[in-house]
Amino acid sequence: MKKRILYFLPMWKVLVVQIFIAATLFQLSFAMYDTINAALDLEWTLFGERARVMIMYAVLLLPLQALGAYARSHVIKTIMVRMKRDYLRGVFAKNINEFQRENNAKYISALTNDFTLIEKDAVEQAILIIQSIVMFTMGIAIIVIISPIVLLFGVGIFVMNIFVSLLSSKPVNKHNKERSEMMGRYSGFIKEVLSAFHIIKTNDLEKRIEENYREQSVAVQEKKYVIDKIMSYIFALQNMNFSLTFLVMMFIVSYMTIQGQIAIAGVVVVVYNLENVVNPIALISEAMPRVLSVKTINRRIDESLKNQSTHVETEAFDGLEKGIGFHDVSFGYDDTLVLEDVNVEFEKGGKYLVIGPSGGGKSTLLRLLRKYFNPNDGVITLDEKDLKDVKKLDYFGKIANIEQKIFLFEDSLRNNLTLYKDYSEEELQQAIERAGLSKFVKSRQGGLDTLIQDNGKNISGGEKSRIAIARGLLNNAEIIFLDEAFASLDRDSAKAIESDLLKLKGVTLINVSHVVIEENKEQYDDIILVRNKHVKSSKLKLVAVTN
Amino acid sequence: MKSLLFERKGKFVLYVVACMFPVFAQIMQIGVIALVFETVERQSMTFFRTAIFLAVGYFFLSAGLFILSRMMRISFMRDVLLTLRLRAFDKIMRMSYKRFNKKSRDVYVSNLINDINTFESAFFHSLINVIFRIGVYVLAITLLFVLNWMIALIVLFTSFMVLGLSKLFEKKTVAYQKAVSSENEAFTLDASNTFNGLEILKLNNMEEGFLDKSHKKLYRLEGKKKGFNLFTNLQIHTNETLGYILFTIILVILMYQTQVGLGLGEMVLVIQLATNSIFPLVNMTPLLNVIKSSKAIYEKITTPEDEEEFSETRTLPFSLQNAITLDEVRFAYEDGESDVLQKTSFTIEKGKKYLLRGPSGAGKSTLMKILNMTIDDYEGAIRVDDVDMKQVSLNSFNEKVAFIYQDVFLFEATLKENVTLFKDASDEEVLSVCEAAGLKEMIDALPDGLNTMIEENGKNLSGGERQRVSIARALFKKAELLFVDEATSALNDELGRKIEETILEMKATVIAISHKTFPGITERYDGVLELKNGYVTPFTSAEYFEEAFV
Repeated sequence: MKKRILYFLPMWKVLVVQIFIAATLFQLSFAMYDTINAALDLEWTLFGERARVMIMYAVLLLPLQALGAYARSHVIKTIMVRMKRDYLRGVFAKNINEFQRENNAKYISALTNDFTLIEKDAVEQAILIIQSIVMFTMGIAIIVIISPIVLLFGVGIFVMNIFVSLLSSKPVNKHNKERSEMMGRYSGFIKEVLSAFHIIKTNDLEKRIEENYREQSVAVQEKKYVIDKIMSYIFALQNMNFSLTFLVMMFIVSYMTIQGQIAIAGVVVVVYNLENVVNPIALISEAMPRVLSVKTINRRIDESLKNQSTHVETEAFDGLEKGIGFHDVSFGYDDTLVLEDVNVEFEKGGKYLVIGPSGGGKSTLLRLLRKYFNPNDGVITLDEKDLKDVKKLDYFGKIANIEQKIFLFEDSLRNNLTLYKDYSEEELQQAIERAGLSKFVKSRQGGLDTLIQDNGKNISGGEKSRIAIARGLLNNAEIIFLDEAFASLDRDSAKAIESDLLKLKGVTLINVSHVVIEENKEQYDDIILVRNKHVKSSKLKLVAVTN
Repeated sequence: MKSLLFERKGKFVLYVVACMFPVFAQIMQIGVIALVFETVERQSMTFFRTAIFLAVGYFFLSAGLFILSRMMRISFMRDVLLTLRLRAFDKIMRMSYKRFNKKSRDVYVSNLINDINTFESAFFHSLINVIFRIGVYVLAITLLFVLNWMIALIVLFTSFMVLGLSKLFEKKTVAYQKAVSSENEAFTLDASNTFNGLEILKLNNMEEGFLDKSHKKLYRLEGKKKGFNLFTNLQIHTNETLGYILFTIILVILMYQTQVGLGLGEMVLVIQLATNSIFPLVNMTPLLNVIKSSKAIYEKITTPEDEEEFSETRTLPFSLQNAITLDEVRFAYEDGESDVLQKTSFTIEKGKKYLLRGPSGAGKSTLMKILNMTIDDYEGAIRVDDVDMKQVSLNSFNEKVAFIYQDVFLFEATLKENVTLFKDASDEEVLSVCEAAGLKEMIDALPDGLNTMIEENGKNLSGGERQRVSIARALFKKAELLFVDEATSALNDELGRKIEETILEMKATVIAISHKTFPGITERYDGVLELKNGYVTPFTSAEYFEEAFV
């Protein structure tokens, strides 16, 4: 990913507009200075002119501030679009196995929650900081022009302020930590009580539980009270700090006026600009920690996009000649082995049924075949090549995948079938026919151009399966992997489609399934049982059983 | 909601009074600023010293008021929140189990934790701000009328104008907010769908097109957000600038009036009061909304739910002699898309152990709830021997069944009380069930044995030990029917094995959900009920676990 800082470049627009706003406020301040002087000198014609200038500057602020509002929202949009776009691109570039290792929710949550946090805590705060710096500079400039000594006092008080706020943050942290631990236990307690609701009800234990709950709630609320009490003193201290700064500055200015060092008009201008100096500091000191806090989120996001496996694939592949073989293959996620010493052969054109209890390793076997993972031990051969070295793009071009969970997207039924590849109308019709989709297509008014809406919400599971099967058939793939493809079909349809698929000549078919259709069983070349980390080919046993 | 606040009338009055303190502090501050200007105009050092003296007084008084105000408020907040917590919990505890089961446990957890936290962090903050703003507005305008009725009228008029203007902006902002939220939903849905299909996209080399589509959605979403941001910012800045313009105009008017002898101090006082009374009422809507939503939260989590009465026909005692039979039982949730169970028939024989299997989401827990009488609006019939389950009294049923869940709730009481659930029993009796539950070793190691206190939800017990306590409870109760839901899923294999073994050795009829298979042990279940796509297929253990089904 790009260096984060580059995303923030468009903020120059905000900076420029803010400088114009500050310049206008600067002019306004001195127009005010002149107007007051004229009034004090009792020169009412001059006063009239100057007052008009002053009001003009004030009115000019209106369009400028509107422009500022526009710049701000525009910049936020530009930045967020870029960030999220790059993130999406990063997700798309992940190795599929590594992508699937995490729950999809993680990426969704990054796209929504994490980026909302970045927007609120980094982007918006950075804009605020830029605006504050400009306003602060302007405020300082005005005060310096009127009286540099006032500024000197201001800086001294400011340094004192920092000390106070540093000192005051310590005592609360400890209590806050304790409270968050306490809340953790409290939540745990609530979860357990609710899970024991049945036990409580059936054993008349409500009173006891309510007593327990009451004690814990009192403790939680009492802790909050203690923190609030301490916070009262801290807030009071911070408030005193601010009003002290303000008062001291004011008295210094007024003292100097009495001494004749500053004009009375100067006091008005300085006092009304004090907030341009004080507020930005408060804003920046609030915004800074928020901006810095985004660091961990950034790291997490970057982490989630990193690909761990970087094995370089060298072998081209343009079609299966002999078959796929597992030779002493072992594979596991993290520490637990899922498959151990697997030896099995899939010959070109053969039809294989892979069965076994859930959790036995069926899906992992399929994932290895789909090249999502490479074995920890042993070799998977594709003809004479090591599958590990075969180029993904070539391999994926030759395989078709039919899953239980079918991916549909908002586009025409045609595009959902062809996945944007070119097929002749004849090919398409044939695939639809064989997948048993004709009735469905005819029942829709738009036929093949029917728009699939809401990602296929109103299409039944069986029809979705048929769409996936039609995709596989269209693809003219040499190798077809079925992953519980018939799970949402009724038995008759499943039987018909399976039998159709089994008749495909020259196509290697590997069907991983819970459902065993007795009538079609004989048509498989081999039934492979994956159970408890091991794989057993029942080629010989099948003969024995039928005998 | 009112009852929550007004329950402690005295404290609530104190709370409102405390909210007014900052108002006085604010007005005092205005006074001090005016005083400083008066000093400048009078050019007198004696007056200067008086002013400093008064400012120091203000400085400490305002700090004191601040602390006093908070102290008066936070104890009220504590009491209110505690009452809220207790009421919310009480509501849940009053539900019948059937009612409780209508919603997922997470909903209640979120009511008791998230909702109360939201209430805690938002409600009082908004309430004090509303009171403060109204206070400042009323006080400042009143003072202004006393000082300079003409300016007061201008300000009053302007404040209404600004309020009206804000309302205009608000409409637009709310509309944009809605658009943002729906675009957000669309974008999330789309991204989630695309991520789900990423595998297919990659397998078909068609990522680019989808990246493009997602970008377009993203652009739309951020566009709406831009609109929302723009209007929010416009509103803030327009108000701010209007304030500036008004300030300059009042300044000009007042200075012109100086000709007829208006002091600088009074002038500043008027300006300050004026700028303070234009905006307090603007932007109150978000605060009022928070109060409204807090009220909604309060009502949601404390108003008792309607209870549907159990029919009076449940009069027969539960007594299982031979078998529980399901006869064409069909069930679907009211809001569910498809049937959880489609006309299912099978038999559970007394004393046998059944394992309920099936992919997650297939409805295993629902089936269990049907079997344990939590759900009774199914079609078809369940018979206990020859008695219709719908006629069996709930109390007699509860006396004969026990439950073992993934989480075991332990009371802060002795180990013995945790096993007996506060019923009288001799130590020998309890020891013997504990031994059968495999707790003997642990009890022997404890200095106080059975009378050891279990601390804070049993943090001094391991996961396996906790499960054993719940087994001991079932044994002590002499439960005839035992429902086990993922009892071993949080345990490591070795412990899980032992727990499963203990459960299989019990005399009771057992119906267990578990996704784990412990070779050598799990095969000892008498039967496996596989639930998939709404159908239950009963297997004998041998059929299910052996290779015979190949």
